Amino acid sequence: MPKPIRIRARVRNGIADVMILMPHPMETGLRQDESGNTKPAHFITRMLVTVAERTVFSARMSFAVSQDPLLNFRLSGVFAGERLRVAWTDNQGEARVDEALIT
Amino acid sequence: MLLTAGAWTAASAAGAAQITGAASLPDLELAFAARTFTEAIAALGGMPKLSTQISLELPQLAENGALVPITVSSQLRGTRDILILVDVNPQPVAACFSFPDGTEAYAATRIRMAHSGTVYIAVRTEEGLFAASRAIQVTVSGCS
Repeated sequence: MPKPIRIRARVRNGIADVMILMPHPMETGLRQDESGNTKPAHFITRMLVTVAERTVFSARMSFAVSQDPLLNFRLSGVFAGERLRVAWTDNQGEARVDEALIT
Repeated sequence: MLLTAGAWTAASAAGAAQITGAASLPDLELAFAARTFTEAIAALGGMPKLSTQISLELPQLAENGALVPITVSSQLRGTRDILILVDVNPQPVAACFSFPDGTEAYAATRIRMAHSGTVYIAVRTEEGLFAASRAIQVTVSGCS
């Protein structure tokens, strides 16, 4: 089971500053383990951020995004008290959805 | 040519998410699959026009290629998508961020770089594709 997504969304002067950390190995498929076997590629391919079922941000990624992808972006038209939902899927079919209150 | 905002469904029992629609046009698939910078640019429709309305913050020197902080933003009207490309990576397209109305065309993240090279930002607006670039020195490879 993938680890929970860490989400912080704070409204200041009408703009919500959103910081998201998605714990994930983001294996490139190019690295080898101690015994010389190639570690299979394992990385988040898509993520989607919604507020009240409205998409506010989405991304496609390759393994060139660093381990434990960290994302920061800014939204207008959202309010403290609303819930921000983050979902990701990876190239091995794993997925994770988490929510946080906008403060 | 515009990428549509994503729609998502969650299988509540499993808590699994299946994300569809977000940035899934065939040309973008091709761009992500590209193995060389030339192929990636061709998949995006050719070398975009350079624009001073795109800003790109990167260190000039990154000690660790596995963790290169990058901040991108666009002042171009109608910015829909911002792509990050690294010319020296085995797959040059690192990420594509999509911005629905109401979301600032701004994003910060961390990327991997195989070695010293150039980071390109491609911005897709209603009027086409625009770009900015910056060379960066990498001390330790982020791909090994």
